[in-house]
Amino acid sequence: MRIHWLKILCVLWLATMVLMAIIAPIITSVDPYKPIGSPLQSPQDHPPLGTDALGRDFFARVTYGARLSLSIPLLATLLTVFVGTSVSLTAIVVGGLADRFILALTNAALAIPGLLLAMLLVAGLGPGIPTVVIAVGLGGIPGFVRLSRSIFLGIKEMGYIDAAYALGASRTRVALAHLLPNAAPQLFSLATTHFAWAFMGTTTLTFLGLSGDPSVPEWGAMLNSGRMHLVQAPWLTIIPGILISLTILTIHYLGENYADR
Amino acid sequence: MKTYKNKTLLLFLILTVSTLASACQPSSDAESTLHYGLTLAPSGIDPHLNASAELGIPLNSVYDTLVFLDPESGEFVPGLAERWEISSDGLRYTFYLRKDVRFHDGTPFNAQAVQENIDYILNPDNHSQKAATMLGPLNQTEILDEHTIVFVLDEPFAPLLDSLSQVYLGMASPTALDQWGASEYQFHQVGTGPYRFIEYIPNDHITLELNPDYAWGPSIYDNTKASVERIVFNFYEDAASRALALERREADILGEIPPHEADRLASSADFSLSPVAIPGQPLQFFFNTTTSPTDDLRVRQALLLAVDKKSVVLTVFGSHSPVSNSPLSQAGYEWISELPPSAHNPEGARKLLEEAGWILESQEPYRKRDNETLVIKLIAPPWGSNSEVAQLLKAGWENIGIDVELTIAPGFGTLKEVQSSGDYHAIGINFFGTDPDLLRSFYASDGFYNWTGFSDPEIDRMLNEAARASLAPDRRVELYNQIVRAIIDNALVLPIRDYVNLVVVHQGIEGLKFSAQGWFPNLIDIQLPSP
Repeated sequence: MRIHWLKILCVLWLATMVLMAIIAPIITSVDPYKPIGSPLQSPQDHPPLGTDALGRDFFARVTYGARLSLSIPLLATLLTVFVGTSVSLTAIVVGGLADRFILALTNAALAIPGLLLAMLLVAGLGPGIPTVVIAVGLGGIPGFVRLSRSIFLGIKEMGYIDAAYALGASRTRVALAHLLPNAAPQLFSLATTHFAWAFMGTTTLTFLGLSGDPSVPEWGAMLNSGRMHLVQAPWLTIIPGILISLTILTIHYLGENYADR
Repeated sequence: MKTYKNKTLLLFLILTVSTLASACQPSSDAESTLHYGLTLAPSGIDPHLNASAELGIPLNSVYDTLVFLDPESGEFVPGLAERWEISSDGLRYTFYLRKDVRFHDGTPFNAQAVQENIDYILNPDNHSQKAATMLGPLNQTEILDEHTIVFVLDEPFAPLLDSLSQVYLGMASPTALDQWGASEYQFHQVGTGPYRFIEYIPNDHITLELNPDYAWGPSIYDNTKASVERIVFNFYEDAASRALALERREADILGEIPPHEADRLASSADFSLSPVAIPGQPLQFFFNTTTSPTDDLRVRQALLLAVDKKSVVLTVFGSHSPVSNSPLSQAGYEWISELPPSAHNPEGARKLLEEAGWILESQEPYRKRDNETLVIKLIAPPWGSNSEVAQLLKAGWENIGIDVELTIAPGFGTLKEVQSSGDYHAIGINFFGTDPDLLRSFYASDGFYNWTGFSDPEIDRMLNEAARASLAPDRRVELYNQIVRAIIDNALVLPIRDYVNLVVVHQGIEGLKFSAQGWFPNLIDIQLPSP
C-alpha cells in the first residue's frame, strides 16, 4: 500500500490546530487580553513570538485565536449543512413545482456571490461574532443546496428508491431512511470542502473588522491589525497569514481527496 | 474590410499618442509639482455644503475668508475684509471689504458676492452640513455700498468671527455658483486664494495651480505669492499604505502617519516629522448618564481611575501626544487654567465600586450587585486609533472586575445608530474647532451631540451666556473655565490624548505651516528644493 505522506501531514496539521484550540490554557499561561509589556517586541526580546501593537503576548493570542478561528466556520458550516440539506432533500422528495421553485430561488441567490451575501448580512445585522456565524452560514446555503440537490437527484434515480416507494414507503421515510444515509459520504465530502470556504469567508469578514471586538483573538482580525506594522513587525502578519492559508489548504485537500476515494 | 483597417489604424494612433503623452508627463512633473497625500476621500468637497476636515487641506488655499485667525496671537486679522465693526449689542457686524480683489474667473469681489455666498449656504435646498450651522443666529445680510456689508444677527453669537475665518465660509465666485449650482459646483470651484482649482476626480486626485494674480494675502502668510506651481493631492485612505507612499516618493507630504511608522521615517535622513497639534476636543469617551450603572457618579469616577492613561497613550501614540485631562485640547485653549492631573488608581476605583454596591465575590470573574453583573458596553468609532485605545480601556476595566463588551462601529452611521438606541455606557466621538462654543453641542441639555444625556441647568446657563458674550472675551474665559470644571467634577467624559497630526515631509521641502485650525496647510508658503 502506498503511504500518502501529504494526507498524513494534512491530518497532522489539522489535528494540531484543533488541539491548540482545545488546550490553549495549558499551552500558555498568559492572558491573551492583557498588555504585558511594551508594544511590538520582537520574538527574540519576548519569546516565543514577541508582543503585538498593544503589548499583548502574541503567542498567547495566536494560540487562543485558534478557538474562534476554527469554531466560527464550524458553526457556520453546521448551519449551512443543516438548512441546505433539509431544503434540497425536501425539494427532491416533494418534486414538481416545489422543486422548481427552490431551484429558481437558489439560482437567483447564486447570482450574488456567497461572500458578498455574507457581507450584506453583516451590514444589516451589525458587527459581532454571532453575526459572522449567521452571515457565513446563510451565505453558503444557496451553493450547498445546489450541490446537495444534485447528489440526491443521482440517488433518487436508483432502483431501490423506486422499490421503496413500490413497497409503500412514505416520502418522509424514503427521504430519511434511504436518500439521506446513501448520500451521507458525498454530503460529508461536500461539507468538508464547504468548511474550507466558510473558513475563508470568516477570516475575510473578520479581516475587514466585522467581528465587533478586536481585542478577542482571531486570526483574520490579527492579520488585519498586523498589517499596520508590516515593516517593523512582519511576524504579526506572517504568522496568522500562514496559519490561515495552511489550514484552508489542508481542509480543502482532505475534502477533495475524500471525494475522489 | 476597409473599416476594419481604419479601426486598426485609429487604435494604433490612439496608442501612440497616449504613449507619447504619458512619456511627456515626467517633464511637466519636473516644473515644480508637489504631491500632497490626503488620508480620507470625502463624499463631497464643496466647503459650503460638505463637512469633512480633509477638504480644507487643498481648498483652504483656493479660498480667502473675510477674516483670518492668527495661530500665534490668537487674534483675528484682516482677510477679504480690511476692517470690521461690531455693534455694542453684538447684533450687527459691519465688514469693510478690500476693493482690489478678483476671483480666479475674473469676477470682481464685492458685497454682492459675499451676500450671494451666504444665500447659497443658507438655501435650504442646498443642505449645507456645516457652514450653515456655523453662521448661528444670522438673520440676514445688508449691503450698505459696493464694498460694505452688514451681518445682522437675531441674538449675539460670539463664535461668528471664528466661523468666518474658516474655509467652510470662504468666498466663492458668484458667477461660478450660478453657473454650476449645488450639484456641480464642487467640480468647478472658483475662489480668490493663492491657488486655483483645476480638477477633482473623486477618489483619485485634486489638482491646484498657483494664482499668478494673487496680491491680497493676509498677514498670517509669510509669502505674498506661491512658489510651487502645481499641487496634486492623492488619497491614501489605508493607514498602512501611507509610509510606503512616502518612501516610494509618490507623496512628498502626508499626514496622519501611524506613530510607529512616523518614528521610523523620522529616523531617516530623507524625511522630517512635524507633529501638528489640532485644537478642539481630545480623543475621548462619553459616559451615558441616563442608564445604570454609569448613571452613578461613583461608577464613572471608578472608570476614570482604572485607566492608566499615560501608558495607553505611550503604547498607542508613542511619545508624540500629550495626555489629556480636559474636555478641550491644550493647543488653542491655553487659557484654561491648570486642571488636576488624572490619577491612575485601581485600588481607589475598586473602593468606589464597592461603595456603589458592586461587590466582587471570590471565584467570580466580575462584580455583581443583587445578582446583576457589572457590564459596561463600550462603543468605539473605527478611525484615529480609537479601536486600539478602546481595547486597552477594556483591559483596564476588566482588571477591576468589570465585564466590558467592546464593539467597534464600522462607521459614523452605525455609531450614531447605537447612540440613538441608548444601548451604551461609554462611546467615543470627538470634534475639532478653535472656538470653545464647540462644547455647547456636547454638554448643553439640548445639544445635538449630548451623548452623555447629562442635563444641568447651571451648565446650560453658562454655555448660553458664553455663546452670547461676543464683546466680553474675559467673561467667556471665566465661564468656560467654570464649565470645564463642572464637566470634570461630574465625570462626564474620559479624555485620553490631545490630537496630534503626524505629518511627514520629504527632506528639502521648506515652509510647511498650518492654519489655526491645525489641519490646513498654508500652501502659499511651501517651497520645493531648488533642483
